[in-house]
Amino acid sequence: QELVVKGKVIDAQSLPLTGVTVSIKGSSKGTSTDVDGNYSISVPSNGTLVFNFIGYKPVERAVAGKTSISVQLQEDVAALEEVVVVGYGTQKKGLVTGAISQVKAEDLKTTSISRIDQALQGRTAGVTVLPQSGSPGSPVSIRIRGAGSNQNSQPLYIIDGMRAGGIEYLDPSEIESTEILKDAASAAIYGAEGANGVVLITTKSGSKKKETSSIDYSFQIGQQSIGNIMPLMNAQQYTQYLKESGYGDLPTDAEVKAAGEGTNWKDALFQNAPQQRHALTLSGGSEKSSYLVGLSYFNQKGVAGGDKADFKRYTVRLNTDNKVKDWLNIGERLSYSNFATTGLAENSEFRSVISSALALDPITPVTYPSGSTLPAHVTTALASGLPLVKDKNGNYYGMSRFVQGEYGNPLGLIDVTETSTIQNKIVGNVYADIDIVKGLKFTTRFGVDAAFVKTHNWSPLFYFTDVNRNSTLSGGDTQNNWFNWQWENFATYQKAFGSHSLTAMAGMSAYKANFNNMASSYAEFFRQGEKYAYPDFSPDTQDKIAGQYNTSTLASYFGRVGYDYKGKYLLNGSIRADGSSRLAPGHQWGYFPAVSGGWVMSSEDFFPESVAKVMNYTKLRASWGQNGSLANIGVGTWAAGISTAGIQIPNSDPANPANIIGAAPSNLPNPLLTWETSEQLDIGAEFGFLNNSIFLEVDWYKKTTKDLLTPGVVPDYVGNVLTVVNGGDVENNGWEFGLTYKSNTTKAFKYSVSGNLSLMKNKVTYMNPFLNTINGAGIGTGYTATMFSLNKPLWYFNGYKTAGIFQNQAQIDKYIADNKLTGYAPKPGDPIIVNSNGDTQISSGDHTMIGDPNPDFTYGLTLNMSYKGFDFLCFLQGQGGNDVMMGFNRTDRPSANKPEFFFKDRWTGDGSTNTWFASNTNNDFIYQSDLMVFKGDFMRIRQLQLGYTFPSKMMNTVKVKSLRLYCSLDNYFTFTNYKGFDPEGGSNANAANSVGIDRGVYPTPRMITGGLAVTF
Amino acid sequence: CGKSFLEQDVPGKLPVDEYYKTDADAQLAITAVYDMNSADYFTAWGSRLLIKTMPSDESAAGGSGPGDQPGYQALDKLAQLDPTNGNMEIAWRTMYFTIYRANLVINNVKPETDLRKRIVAEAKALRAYNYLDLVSLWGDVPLILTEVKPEDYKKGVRAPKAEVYAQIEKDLTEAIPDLPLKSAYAVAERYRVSKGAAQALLGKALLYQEKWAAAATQFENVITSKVYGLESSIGATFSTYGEFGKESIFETSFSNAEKYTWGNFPWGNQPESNIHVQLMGPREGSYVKAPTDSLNNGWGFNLPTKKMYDAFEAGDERKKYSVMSLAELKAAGGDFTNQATWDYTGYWQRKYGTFEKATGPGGDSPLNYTTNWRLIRYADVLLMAAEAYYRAGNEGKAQGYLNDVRNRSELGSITPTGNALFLAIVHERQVELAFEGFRYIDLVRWGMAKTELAPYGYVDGKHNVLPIPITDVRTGGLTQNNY
Repeated sequence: QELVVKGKVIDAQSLPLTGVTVSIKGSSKGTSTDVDGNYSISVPSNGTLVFNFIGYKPVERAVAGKTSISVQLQEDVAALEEVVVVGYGTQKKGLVTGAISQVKAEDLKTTSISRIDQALQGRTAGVTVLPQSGSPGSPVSIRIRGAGSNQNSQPLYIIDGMRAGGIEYLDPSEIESTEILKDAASAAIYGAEGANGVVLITTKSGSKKKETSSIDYSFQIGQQSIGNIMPLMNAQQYTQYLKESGYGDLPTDAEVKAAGEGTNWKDALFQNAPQQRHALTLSGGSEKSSYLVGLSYFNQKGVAGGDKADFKRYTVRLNTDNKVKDWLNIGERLSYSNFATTGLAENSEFRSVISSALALDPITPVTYPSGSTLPAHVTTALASGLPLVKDKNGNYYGMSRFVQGEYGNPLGLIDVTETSTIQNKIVGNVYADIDIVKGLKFTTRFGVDAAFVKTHNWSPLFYFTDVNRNSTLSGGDTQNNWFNWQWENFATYQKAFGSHSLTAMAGMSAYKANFNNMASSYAEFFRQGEKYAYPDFSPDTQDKIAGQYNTSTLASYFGRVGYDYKGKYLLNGSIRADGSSRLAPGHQWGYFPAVSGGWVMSSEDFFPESVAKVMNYTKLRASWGQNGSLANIGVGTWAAGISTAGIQIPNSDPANPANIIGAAPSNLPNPLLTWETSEQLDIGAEFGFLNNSIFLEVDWYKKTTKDLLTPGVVPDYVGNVLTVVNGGDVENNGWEFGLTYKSNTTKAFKYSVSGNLSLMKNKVTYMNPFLNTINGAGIGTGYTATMFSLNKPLWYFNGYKTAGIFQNQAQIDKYIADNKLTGYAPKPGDPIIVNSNGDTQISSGDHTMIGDPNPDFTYGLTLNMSYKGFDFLCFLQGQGGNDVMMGFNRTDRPSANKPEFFFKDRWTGDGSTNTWFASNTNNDFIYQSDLMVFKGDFMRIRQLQLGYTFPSKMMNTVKVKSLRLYCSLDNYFTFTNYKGFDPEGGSNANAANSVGIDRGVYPTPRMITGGLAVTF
Repeated sequence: CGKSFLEQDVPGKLPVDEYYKTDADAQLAITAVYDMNSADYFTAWGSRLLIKTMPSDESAAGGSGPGDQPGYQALDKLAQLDPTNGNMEIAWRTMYFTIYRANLVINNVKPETDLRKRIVAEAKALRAYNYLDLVSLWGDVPLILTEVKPEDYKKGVRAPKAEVYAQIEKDLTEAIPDLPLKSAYAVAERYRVSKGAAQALLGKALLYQEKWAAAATQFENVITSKVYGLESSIGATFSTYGEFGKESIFETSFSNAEKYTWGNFPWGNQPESNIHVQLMGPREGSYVKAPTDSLNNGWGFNLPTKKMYDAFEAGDERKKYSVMSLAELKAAGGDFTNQATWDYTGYWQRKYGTFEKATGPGGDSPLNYTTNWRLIRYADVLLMAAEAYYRAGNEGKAQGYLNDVRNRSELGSITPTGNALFLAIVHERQVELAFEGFRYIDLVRWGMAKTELAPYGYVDGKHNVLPIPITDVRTGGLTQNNY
């Protein structure tokens, strides 16, 4: 008897599923669901219906006389069947033998962050993402399993197979999945450049599996602000502090009185600033072709500087795949992006807007209101014709009488900053996949990564101080061009025989990186204003140009073999040979092998049933491999060439004082220069409990970076610089834990928790015998604040160790006598400086390790909850065990303002405190000591998000597949004991030796956002 | 993708073995030696002039506080002077970098033409000039005459002073015949080492070794060459007019040709202007210049001591060209508002002054001082000659040269004898050569440092030489002085 059975197929969120195949078991008859998820089929009353849909678990239902059968399909969350992308191929997750972390599109769906690299923060163990600053568009630095190198430790980025210089051009909406190859065995297939880990990004493409099309649009608007962070001294505190510290030129009583609380420069500088983002994705496909078109727009204004710190990004993506013949697939992944940035100087203790806001005294007003009497020093400056800066209303900006030097009125500084950068970037590749015989596939692909960056800046006439002024209209334009191409060919063979299965891959790659630039500077243009600020409008004699090009090539051959027996015993091996033009002839080739193995213990017959009930999955794995890094070797670094760069002297003719050019070797040669090699051992285990609802992953690793490339240090008497040497070994080791729990997905209230924790240790284990310590970054004038030396952590903080505060003269006298010191004359209230080198002086020879910028642990925790249409996300992230050095207090600028706690916590007399010094503005024994080093531990709630997805019934009436609204608080709550602006301050990736020094960084703003995501 | 794919050019760099071949190459190579020889700011602050001046009793470091240029501060106060001194290390580095470039010229340029012969001689004289600075500031120092091989980078050896002096004498003796008189150089080339400069330098090296008669002979050669003379006043000598003038024997040249602005000044590199002049101007913020004066403000370093100010005799016109007191500043209508600034002495030096005329036009004026360092000038040679003759027993000649120098500055002739004559020479060097970087080395070699410099932190047997910079001890394996 045939019945007509009707019903509806929905997904876990009760949304209708379109195109689900509904078939009768044992028959070829079938149908599929319509756009509302409904179906109707004629079926024998004793038959069985099978519901099949890609990505979901198939469901069978016996008809048993019913005429209405509705089903809810569950997504196929058998995680172990998922594939992960590995270099030059994919692997079933269950067969992976290395340490690979995956972040999928759905993890990023809720992100309110504009950059994919930032979105990786806290998502996975062993990956540290440090924002370099909170300013719009500023880059982040990513460290995988600690800093291996002491210069550039950025990982290698591979986007759809193409090596790219960075991933800042990707909008999170473009990403299908991100794989992070952490262990050497996984990364070894990228040989010479994989030492700092590899980030593989796969962008979204249209689906070819079924006739579908969809339009996704998301919109987000946010408001950024700065919380109440690090108060500075007010007018009274400032004046009293200077007075107590013996500074001479104090504000008068009248000035202090008139100022009241005084100017809060921080409030004056920071304001709320908007951010918005739109992303539109159109995709679809049929059996033969699929396409995806993506567009996005992002704009962020700065909380300091507004329009002068603005970041705009447009991206366009076109991905298609086409089956031309049964044996031939071709397609492309193509991305164009455009960035427009205006920027302010920051992260410098010398000339930045932020450091001026930190340093300027509270007595000086932001502006002198019209009609008020200008102070004498301002009228004097005006009388001598100096170009003082006015605000929009025509009022002169406040000019400090007390704090000068490089500092200036921060709002005035913003007004005179005229810098813009426009970048056009194209990244993409075209590919062809050819099926030669069954199991053997050949891929060829050609990709480019091209970026064209134009920077334009000019400076109007202005005067803040004798040092911070501009008396000539001047400007500069720079065009930097990168054009890199890569051509790769590889073949993959897969074969299963009986319980054995074998995969093999072999191929080659050629990569060429071209860079050229043209920089110009010009001055004395005809009138002040943007439209005159070009070289054509300045005298030809004032035009200068500079330019450069360089080219480097990398040739590679690689192969990989994988074997498994019943998916139970797993073995992988790979090797890559790389040749680089950056090294001297004869030293160009390097070889990078790796092996790894795994054992799925739970698949063994002897695995006890009783255990399997609870712990259903157990895998043990181990890997070893070697990688290289060339990032710190420039073109021709090894060679000692003769160059005229920078060598000129003025002649002695007063009538015609021209420069005479000279030429000399620019550096010492180092033909033995070789790869930085990273060797890594990884032992890991994976456990699934209760049908994988709890999944635990544990890894232990030891990563040794050998022949570390360091700036060469040779004795000065050798007579020239050694640019880069293979300086030593750095060892990172640690533990990584990842734990996920998902609640029963059939209940209305669902939740999941996932957390990760990394413990790491870092130290220098070997130094080039030519070297002892290497000086790192300096602070102010003449203080080396970071150092690199044997058995110490990478770029540790260097300075005076203190042991409390001298309370009285008797204590001082005793200390001097006990240590037999000469020439040391502290006052009560000064810190007790430890005589580290045991000589008879307290001097910079007593500098020792006073802090470690490297964290001991990092963690992330994500909580997801949903109930009916509502969803909630909490994502927090943190780290601990690292130190931050407060580096914006300059002793050579004694009258600069200071954080309020300098005043509140200060020593005020015998017995008042033993932890903070008496008022003091210029003592190196304080400002180069551990008193400036703070614990950098923090926990930040990156995101709190609440969303609502409208019921499909309601939406179906307006032809909308889904609609979700949400609001989110980003970076709103930070828990830290660091007393500066931002515990993440000073993570400048361009100078690894400066990590952890807070030079007055642009703090990470907090943000409130609202948005919607709609699918048609 | 084979070998050729990996062969890529190194842009802009000529392989070393294709260089030093022609006259043009030799010109470029010797210019590079002069370039480094004049690098008082080389990647960082490290003025040879200040390294030599700070330990003396002429001036205090100054600046904004003890954290401002801590290296110069420690060289001034001496108690904190130690091998980690950054400013001192830069000065040491520029000397050896100059020697490295000179060695390449001497060892690679074949003296086959007159020009190349002269250039090799210039290189030898420049090498000697640097070794004389090294040996007089640090004592025994590594004597590097060829390129150091990588395997020897950490095997540094300090040659005994006598060996260093022997090399200085050898280089100069070889150079003198091949060097032209200063007058034979075109005006634009007078920054080059001349025969007179090499003779004066040789005389100085002999004087420092107390080879009195031989020293006197060399100074006499300079004097009788008739190429040099004294300017009308020391003010003229140190004005822009006096640069490469008749009193100039050897001088390093700075220019404003780059018209630096705050936006493009090559911090961390090697500017062509003399930024140390700006460093030595009266401290901005407090200094109010007198209406008719052209001494701009600066960063307040190198503040003269009262002892220096008081050393000038009444009527010595050098005083007004060398030092200015607060009273004089106020009398002229200027002021200095914050007398609690660090190291405040109440005096400012005007010899290498921040004069408006010595900077610009174009660019930001603090960054474009053109003031040349007078490394050897005729008055110094006259006084060294006086000293050498006195020691050699010819008091008449000594008095004559001493009085030549006094008379120029409106002071009458004097005729002391015996030790009084010596003390007169000591005094004359103090006031004539104030702030020119000679006083500390002179006091040490005369054995007078332990008395004269004691109030300034000088410890005998220690501060008679500077500490060897820490890098060269650590990575180069050099032994340390008494620090």
